[in-house]
Amino acid sequence: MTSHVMPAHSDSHSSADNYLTASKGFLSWAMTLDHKRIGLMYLIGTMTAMFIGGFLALLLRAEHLSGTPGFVSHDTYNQLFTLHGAIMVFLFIIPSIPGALGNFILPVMLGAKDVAFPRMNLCSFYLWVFGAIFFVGALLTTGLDTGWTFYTPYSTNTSQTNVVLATLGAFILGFSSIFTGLNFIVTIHTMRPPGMTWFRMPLFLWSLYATAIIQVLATPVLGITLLLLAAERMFGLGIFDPKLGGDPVLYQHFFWFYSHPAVYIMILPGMGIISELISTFSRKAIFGYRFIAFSSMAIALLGFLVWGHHMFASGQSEMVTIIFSALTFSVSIPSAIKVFNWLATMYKGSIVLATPMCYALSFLFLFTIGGLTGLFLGALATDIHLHDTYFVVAHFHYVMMGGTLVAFVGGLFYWWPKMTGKMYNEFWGQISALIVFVAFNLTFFPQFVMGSRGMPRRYYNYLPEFQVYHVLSTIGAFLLGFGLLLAAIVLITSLFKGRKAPANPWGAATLEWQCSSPPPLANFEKTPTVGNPYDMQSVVWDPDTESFVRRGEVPIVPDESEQPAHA
Amino acid sequence: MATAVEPHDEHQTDHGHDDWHHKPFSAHHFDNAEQQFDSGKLGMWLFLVTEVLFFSGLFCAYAVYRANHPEVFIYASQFLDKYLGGMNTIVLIFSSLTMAWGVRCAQLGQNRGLIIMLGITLFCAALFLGVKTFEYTEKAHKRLLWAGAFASAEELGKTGSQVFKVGEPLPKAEFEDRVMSSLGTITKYWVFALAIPVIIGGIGFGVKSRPALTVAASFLISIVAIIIGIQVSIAIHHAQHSGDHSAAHAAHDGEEHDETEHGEHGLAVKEDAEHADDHAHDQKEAIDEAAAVAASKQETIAGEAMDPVLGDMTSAGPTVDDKSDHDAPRNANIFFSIYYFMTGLHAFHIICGMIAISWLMVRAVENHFRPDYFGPVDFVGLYWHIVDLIWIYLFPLLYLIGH
Repeated sequence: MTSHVMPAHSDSHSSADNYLTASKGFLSWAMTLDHKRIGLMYLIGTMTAMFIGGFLALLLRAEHLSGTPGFVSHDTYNQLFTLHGAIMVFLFIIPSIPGALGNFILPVMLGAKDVAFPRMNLCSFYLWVFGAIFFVGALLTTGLDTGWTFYTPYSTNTSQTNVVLATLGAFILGFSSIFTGLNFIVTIHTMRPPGMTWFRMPLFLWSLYATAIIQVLATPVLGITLLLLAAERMFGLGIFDPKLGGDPVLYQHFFWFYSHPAVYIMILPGMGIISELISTFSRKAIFGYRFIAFSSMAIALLGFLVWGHHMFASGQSEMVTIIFSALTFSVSIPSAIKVFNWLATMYKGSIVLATPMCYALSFLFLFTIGGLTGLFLGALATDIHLHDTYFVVAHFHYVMMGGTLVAFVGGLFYWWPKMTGKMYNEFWGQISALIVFVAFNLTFFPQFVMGSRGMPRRYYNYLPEFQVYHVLSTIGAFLLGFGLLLAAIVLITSLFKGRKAPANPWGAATLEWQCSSPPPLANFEKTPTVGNPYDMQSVVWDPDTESFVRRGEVPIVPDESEQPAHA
Repeated sequence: MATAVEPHDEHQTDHGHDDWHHKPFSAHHFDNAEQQFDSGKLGMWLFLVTEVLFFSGLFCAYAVYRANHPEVFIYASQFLDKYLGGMNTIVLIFSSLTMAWGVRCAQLGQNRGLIIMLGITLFCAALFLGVKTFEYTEKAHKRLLWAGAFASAEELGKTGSQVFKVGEPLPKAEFEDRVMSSLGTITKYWVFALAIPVIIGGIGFGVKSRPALTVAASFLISIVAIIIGIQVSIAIHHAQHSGDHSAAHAAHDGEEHDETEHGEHGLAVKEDAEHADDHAHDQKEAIDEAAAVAASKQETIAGEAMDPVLGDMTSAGPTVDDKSDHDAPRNANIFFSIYYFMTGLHAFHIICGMIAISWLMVRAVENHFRPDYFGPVDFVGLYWHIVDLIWIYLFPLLYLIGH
């Protein structure tokens, strides 16, 4: 892509000439280097993965309507929960927010034309596609029944399914994730325009930056672990096989050294979205900006020190478990800092209950429950009781789904007008948020109860005393599926029926709302003004354009002392 | 005035901006060459961080197993030829020098120097692979394989045809013959592979394509260097081996001590062939030392609790009862699992580096690099240094234990 493709003559720009319409045809998408198009392709891919994973989850829940064998066999059941987990983790939650929303929003929010390495960005998307093909290959050939964690020695010696195919898929997806993270770090370091200092970066960017650090530092360890696993299975390497002198618990250490930080890859971008939503829809500057920014970094760093809490029951020494338990509690400090700052932001704000804000409020409730139940699991004594029960399942669904997925959907509603140029139907959006919130609790709250009463996870059958909880959970799951489907319908309908979106429908002060909706190919028609990203007083409602505009037309030209990031 | 978001307006009299965007290798979304270079460099460093972490899992596994089974590492590393490993170390360090020199040439705009330096670096990389080819082949014939492969060889033994112990060579002559004939076959295939550069070169010559000719030259350099690497390794091997025959034979009556003695022999042979008597005397001392070491090792092994759960996997049925001095510690093959995985992954990185260097050569021949645009050379150089650095850690950790 050379300079002449950049149609940046401000006079020739019409509002119709945006990144969606700048070029046409399949190849203009398949070979695009534009971060916005790559973001959209990621969005379609990850949403497809989410609905496939969700469908598998509904099959699981339907099977649990009764405690006796239902319409799937026990082998099929093992495959269903494995693929549900693997698809949701590797294909949806990890790439969704950075890949889809991050790719689209990060350069625009930063005031850059693109990410630092557009080709690597496209490569990352195609790696995602290849990884997905490997997973689908495993799904269609033999399935996969190891659980998404691929624990040895079951995965290497016992499982009859195509473990190698699936691990190679996860390996490839790891590279996709590394490329995204690497791109984001370099973009934030070198592509900031004049005036965009570190502490003028919107908090979504801080959270993506923290996420990217984890992606770059943790994912290679997963890569080598999965290679060792594949070599173990194919050649009998012996590293994880006690029969040959290896140690299967070493696999668990390696795996969780990645996969625990990966939990923060999943939740941190969601927290970043919530910071934006709460501030914008409270019409109030974010409270405790630096605390939220630094708590993201603190979570990223602490996240590397707690992997052992997944292995309390694996025979670690007591000293090690105590240390890991203590470190685990320390992660709750930065998380709580964020929650309290969000609450303080809403305090005395003029809260607008638009759909994204409804999702953000759901997030606050669900994430808090998820986080606090994590303390039960981090405490050694209670963990022995709750270990491998539905309590754990409910806990991480509250964090991963109630946290990340709800934040993702909220962010999607929030940036949808910017991405597509269309406004969605506010009423039905709010209804979808309500359904998702209620149905989510209906699905997973009973799982806390039955887990604490001893219902183990990953079991095909259960005792009659658990049936009432399972039935409640199943009803909730189907409602939840309906709520998410409704959200998707609301968004997709807007493409055809939605009214045209103004540049800034929400009154946010971050940079992405200063370019038109959808953005032009080069993101900005004129140099954006970089100021305080949370100065809500800087924008006012303009009834003529039905949009928020900057107060006063004179842009604050960055003064000469403010240099670009790379100078 | 130049900002990342400023629209590119030809009517504006911002010449610096325009110049930048009309240079051949400027990416549109950067403001200037400096920003592009800095971004690339930061990206490359981050990539190197991921590379280090990628290997860190293996170093971790190494540390865990060495801490748990030190006897395995002391015993099994004797089967690695430290002279070949040392030669490879020198080759790679030298290639780092030429790579750095090449970067300097690119910075100074000395295109010819750059091409020569890249060629030497490529040659060294392939030489490294040639030596590795020899090492792998020799070990394969000695049954020095990773744990699973060894187990299957053992199963072969149970069916009655042969019983192997870790590192137990086949009868001397037969073993040598088999290694040499395998290497001969491999060399022959590489000679056949010379057809690749010939064909690509022919096509390139026919259509007058400089890139094709450069690619052909890269292939030629690589294949020739691999063949040279194999032959040099054979020569080094024979140099050590002839030592065995002259001295060890007399001293120890053909006992299979050669592995522990390799070092001393090879050195002595190189030092001076005339002082044969002194040499033999030295030799005998060295052998005694080695025997003492072996004995003490044996004690260590006996002292280490033999985990009953793990079973006795390495010494197969018939030899369980009469443990000689040369019995391997239990699970000695786990060392070779780590050895093959680490060196194999490293060799894969060498191959990637060779592809990258060939790509640089194509671009250098096309005169792409100038003092204000040499980023790719710099970045591949960084990559090449990390690959060398990893080997510098692998060499002592694998080859120099207990010497």
